[in-house]
Amino acid sequence: MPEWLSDLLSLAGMAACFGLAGWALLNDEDDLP
Amino acid sequence: MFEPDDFRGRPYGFTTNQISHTAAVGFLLIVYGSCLAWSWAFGEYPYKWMIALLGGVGYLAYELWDQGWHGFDTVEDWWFVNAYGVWAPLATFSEAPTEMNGLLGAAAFTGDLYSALPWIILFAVHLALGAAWRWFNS
Repeated sequence: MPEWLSDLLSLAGMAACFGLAGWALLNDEDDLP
Repeated sequence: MFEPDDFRGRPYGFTTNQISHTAAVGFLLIVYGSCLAWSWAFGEYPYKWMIALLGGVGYLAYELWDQGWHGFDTVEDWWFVNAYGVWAPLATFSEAPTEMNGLLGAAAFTGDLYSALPWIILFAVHLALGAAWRWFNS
């Protein structure tokens, strides 16, 4: 796999997981301030 | 600890390095540290998304500043800190209301071990596969 593709997939995976976790936590209505 | 290293051929180094990322950086520094600081300042714990944001952005900034971009290795370090060190505790523990909620030192936690179980299993499998890959390449 070329390095640029590995970098791109790594970054995309990280961003996707971070976004998903953030979205889940922002919509966690049981979380107290 | 502060030099870039993918621990090629050194499974023990990989394992201890990633356990340190999860336990010391993710859990102790980011989750425990931010909750302690927030409770000192405001008498309660921060929203979970604030802790995740601190870990996700803060650790990436630190890793890039300290070691630069190293592709998958950078992302794997980030993942051990955030997914297992930060998100797993956030899935396990929640702030519980108390009679004195809002006053300094009155905040409490509830815990649910099962909600973090997928993360714990994934952590063990990831660690084992990473170590095995390095073992076979040593």
